[in-house]
Amino acid sequence: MRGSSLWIVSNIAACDFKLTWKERSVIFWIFLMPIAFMLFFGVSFRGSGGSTPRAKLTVENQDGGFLSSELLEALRKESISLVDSLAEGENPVRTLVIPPEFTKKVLSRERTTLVIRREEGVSQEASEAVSVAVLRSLIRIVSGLIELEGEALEQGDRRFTTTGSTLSGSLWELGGGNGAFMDSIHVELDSLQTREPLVTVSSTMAGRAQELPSGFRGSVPGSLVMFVLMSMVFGGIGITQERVSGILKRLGMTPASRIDVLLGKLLGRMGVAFIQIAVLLLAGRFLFGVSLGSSPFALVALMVVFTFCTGGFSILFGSLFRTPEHMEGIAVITTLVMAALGGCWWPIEMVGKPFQILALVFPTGWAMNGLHKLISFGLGTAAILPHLAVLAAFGLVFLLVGARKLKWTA
Amino acid sequence: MRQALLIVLKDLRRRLRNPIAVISMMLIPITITLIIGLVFGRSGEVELPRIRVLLIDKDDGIFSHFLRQSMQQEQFAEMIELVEVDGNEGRAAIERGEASALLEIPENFTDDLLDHKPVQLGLKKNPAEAFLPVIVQELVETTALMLDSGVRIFGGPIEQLRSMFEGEGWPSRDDAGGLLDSSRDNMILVGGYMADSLISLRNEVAEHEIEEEGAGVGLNIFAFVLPGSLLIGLLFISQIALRDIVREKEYGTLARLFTAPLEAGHVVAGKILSAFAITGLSCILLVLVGRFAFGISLGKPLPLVFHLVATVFMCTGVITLCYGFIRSDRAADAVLPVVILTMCLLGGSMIPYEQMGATLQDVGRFSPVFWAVDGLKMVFIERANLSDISLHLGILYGLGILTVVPGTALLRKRMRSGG
Amino acid sequence: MIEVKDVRKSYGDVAALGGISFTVREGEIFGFLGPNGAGKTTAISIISGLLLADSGTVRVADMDIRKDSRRIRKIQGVVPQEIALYEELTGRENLHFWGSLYGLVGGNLRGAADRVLELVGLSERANDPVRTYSGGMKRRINLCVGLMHRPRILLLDEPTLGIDPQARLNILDIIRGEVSGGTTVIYTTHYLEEAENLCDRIAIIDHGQILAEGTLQQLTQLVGEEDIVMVTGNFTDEQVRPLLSEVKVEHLEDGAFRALVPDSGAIGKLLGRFFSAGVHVGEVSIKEPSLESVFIKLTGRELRD
Repeated sequence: MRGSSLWIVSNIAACDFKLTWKERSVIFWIFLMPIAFMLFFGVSFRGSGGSTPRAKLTVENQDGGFLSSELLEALRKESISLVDSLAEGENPVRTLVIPPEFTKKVLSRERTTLVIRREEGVSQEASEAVSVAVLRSLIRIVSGLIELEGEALEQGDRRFTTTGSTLSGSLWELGGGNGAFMDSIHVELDSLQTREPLVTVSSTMAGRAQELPSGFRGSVPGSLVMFVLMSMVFGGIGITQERVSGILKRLGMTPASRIDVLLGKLLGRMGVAFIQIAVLLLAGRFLFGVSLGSSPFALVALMVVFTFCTGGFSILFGSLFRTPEHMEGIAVITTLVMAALGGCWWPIEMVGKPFQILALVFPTGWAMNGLHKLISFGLGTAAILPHLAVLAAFGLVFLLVGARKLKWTA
Repeated sequence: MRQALLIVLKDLRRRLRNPIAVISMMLIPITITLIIGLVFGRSGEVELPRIRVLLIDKDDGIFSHFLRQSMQQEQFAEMIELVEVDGNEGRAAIERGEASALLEIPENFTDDLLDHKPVQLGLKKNPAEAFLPVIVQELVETTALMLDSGVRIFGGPIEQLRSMFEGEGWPSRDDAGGLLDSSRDNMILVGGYMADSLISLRNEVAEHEIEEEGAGVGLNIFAFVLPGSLLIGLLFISQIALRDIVREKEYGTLARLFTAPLEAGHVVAGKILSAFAITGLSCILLVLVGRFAFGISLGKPLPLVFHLVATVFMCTGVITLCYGFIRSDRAADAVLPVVILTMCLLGGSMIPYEQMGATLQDVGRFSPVFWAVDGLKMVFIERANLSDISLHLGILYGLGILTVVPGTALLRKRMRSGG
Repeated sequence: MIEVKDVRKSYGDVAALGGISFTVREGEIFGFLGPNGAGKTTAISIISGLLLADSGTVRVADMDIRKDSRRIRKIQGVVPQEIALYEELTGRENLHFWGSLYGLVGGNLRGAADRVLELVGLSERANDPVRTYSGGMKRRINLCVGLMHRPRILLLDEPTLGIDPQARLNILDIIRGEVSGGTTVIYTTHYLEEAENLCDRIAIIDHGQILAEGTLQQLTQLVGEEDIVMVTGNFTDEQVRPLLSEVKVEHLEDGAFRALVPDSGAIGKLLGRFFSAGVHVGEVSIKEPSLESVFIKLTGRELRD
């Protein structure tokens, strides 16, 4: 064992591993910053999860009739939050403006317009949810109304009747300002609204996880992949620094072979990444409630291959530069590009097809996709075999090119 | 003063000789802006790709056809790609995540509905996607609601129609006439809403005194993204520019400077001024890139200039104060990126402030970056006047002074005591 | 112990080593003396197995460096010119790491680290990070790394570079003490006095060629018993050539010449002829036979720090 390749590799790996933790600021980069990103991105892209705060809607009701209150009643059943009163100094985010005489106009079959006014820059997603909710409430009210109108027409009163294909009169005229009549319509409309729906939709999640997706389900894997990559790329700068300081040269003069040194460096980096991944996954699980899927083995396998791949990239990155100066800026840009295009920043389904395909050019894209298969779908190893193969191939290519380009001396 | 200027000139010359560090930091905001702009298109509004929905239709009746057609109407057809699949194939595909959702219409869907029996559509969503399945769900639920209403309104006539066809032989003329009569009224009633838009729903964005010249210009997503990423770049550039304060001490050039007839104040002022100049120069270059490469409209000149100066001042000030406490290169490496990224994260540099959620937004307002980014967006997008951004300017200049003054004092004190 | 035959190495068009050959016997301290860029580090790199020579053979302890590189490296200790240490780690941690690569483990490893730390007088600072050390302390730890596993062969590449004379003497003492146990040493330097004081045999190297090789005594015999006299002044070579008939001229150009003279009397006569011929003499320097004079004779220039 002593003096063998395995011994040398493990010693180089252990030294690299130890070196990483000597720098106290790495705690921030390896653990705290990714967790902060998980939190921020998770809260900001919350999607449709159960914890989603509902879209807020303030109502400006200029109508005095019952239809507007029916409409609001219907709106309350939708998954939005109606703001009854604003706190002092608070500005409405979105406002539904119900015009004056809304009830009268609708009952008279005159045209009227509801307005949803939103402040600039407010969440587009929430605004769309509000539009849909208002539309659905309108459908409910209107369809009830049509049923009542249909019944009224059957009475054949001349104040509301059809001749050929034209309609004359309206419920309003039929009521003729009679309060009791209006009340009866109100009551009937109410009772129509309480009927059980005929068509319902049961919606479930595919996969075995059966958990509501939340923003964290995207932000936890996204931040994990991005920051593991970042640690690795920055680790590459360490290789260049070792070359400049003569440490690589000295390593080359020890009994360690070139392959021993490369493997040692790779394993040392992978060790750091494992700790990082373990902490981040635990944070994802216990701080943000993200499921880790149903196959721990598959998750570990994917993470091992991903760290191998990024470890290879670290060595390639370190072998490309002659001096460590300016590498930091390039490291940041490389990480940002690979993370953003690989789908770490936003749900990949939101981007166009070309960018979805482009994501697969980067190992980050494969890692994200694989994590979704495990975490979101709850699938097992079989589902990520292609991912394992592709990431391993990426890693191997990075490592081989890196090994070829790596110079021992400055 | 002359000595301070000499130091500024020397530092600027050194920086120009070796600009790669600053340039690489300038590339960060450009890269972020470029990626987001390219990925989401320039229009500002996120354009979602077509949503792939798998459909298993076990009914194949009138109502299932209605559902299918309403999801393939003109406006939805652009949004939804409806792919009919058979049961097993569809379920396997959604398990593999090959679509955003799978809609399953059960057997006897039409018949049950005609019998006024409750029916249930099955929607299986892709758990890996956060947004698209939700859109599908909304759409399916709305369509189901329309179907529900339709069945209630036209249930009678349709029932008649069905019994006509289920009976022996052809329906009689009377049957057909009765059917027409009973459905006609309802058609007219519904037509009023469908064709004549008796009730219309209008969405509008609250307008904030947008000037005529600004009106009609579509939102450029770059204008929305650049301010945030610009701040990341500027803060990092400031810290590089001021890094000399600790580095020159380690190189020994600082001690040498003091062998010349210089006051500590001159050296500190020179360093801060040169950092201000370098950050300002980078800011101008980045804004020009924004203007000419990304086509951002820069708003009105006066508010733009005042706001950019305030932003650069604030960046230099905050970093000066940090260096007031930082004594070595290593400490700067460890502390500054943390401070900068935290300010940027909270201030809306990385995620739009509007999207951050109430609590984080409240915290975000304590980040100087928020005031810089928000003001810059107002200048770019809303063509804000000086009065519109007066609060932002006040806070930024105020912060600049509140950080530069103690920062300078700390640095001066330290230099007097030998660095 | 070490046998180098006609080793050549080029970087592109630049020949770093132009065919050097030498032999180092067991237990001997072999010095490589030459200015910066002479090829000393390249030679060390090839002997240590870091670089492969373009041609030629290197045999160490009867093994070929091309075939048995790993076995050779196990019995060698190398101290590179750079302070190749992990600054973040303590002195002891550095020693443990490098020692472990040579197969040291457990008590042996700890014992070896304690031994070398004691040797260089850094036991008390051993647990401080290297970055807090002074330049001389770093050099000492740099040396320690090469001594940890008690190598049979020690390759030292300018181990005293950039430190003060006192610290340099200290390092030379350590090396002397360490090799008294029979270690074979190759020591490169561009400090003449180090080569003179430490080495059993010396090779003078310049522009990738070994110009001379031997013991100090053998080398100084190259300049014989004669002194070297160097004269500069305001004259032309035509003017002084006739005046130099009685000395061995090594080099002559307008304003300067170098010549070998048997004794100081000859110098007096020479200068007397100059004065009487009215030749202006600016500066005269006389070197007695020494490594320096050998170097000057061989390379035509002084070896400066």
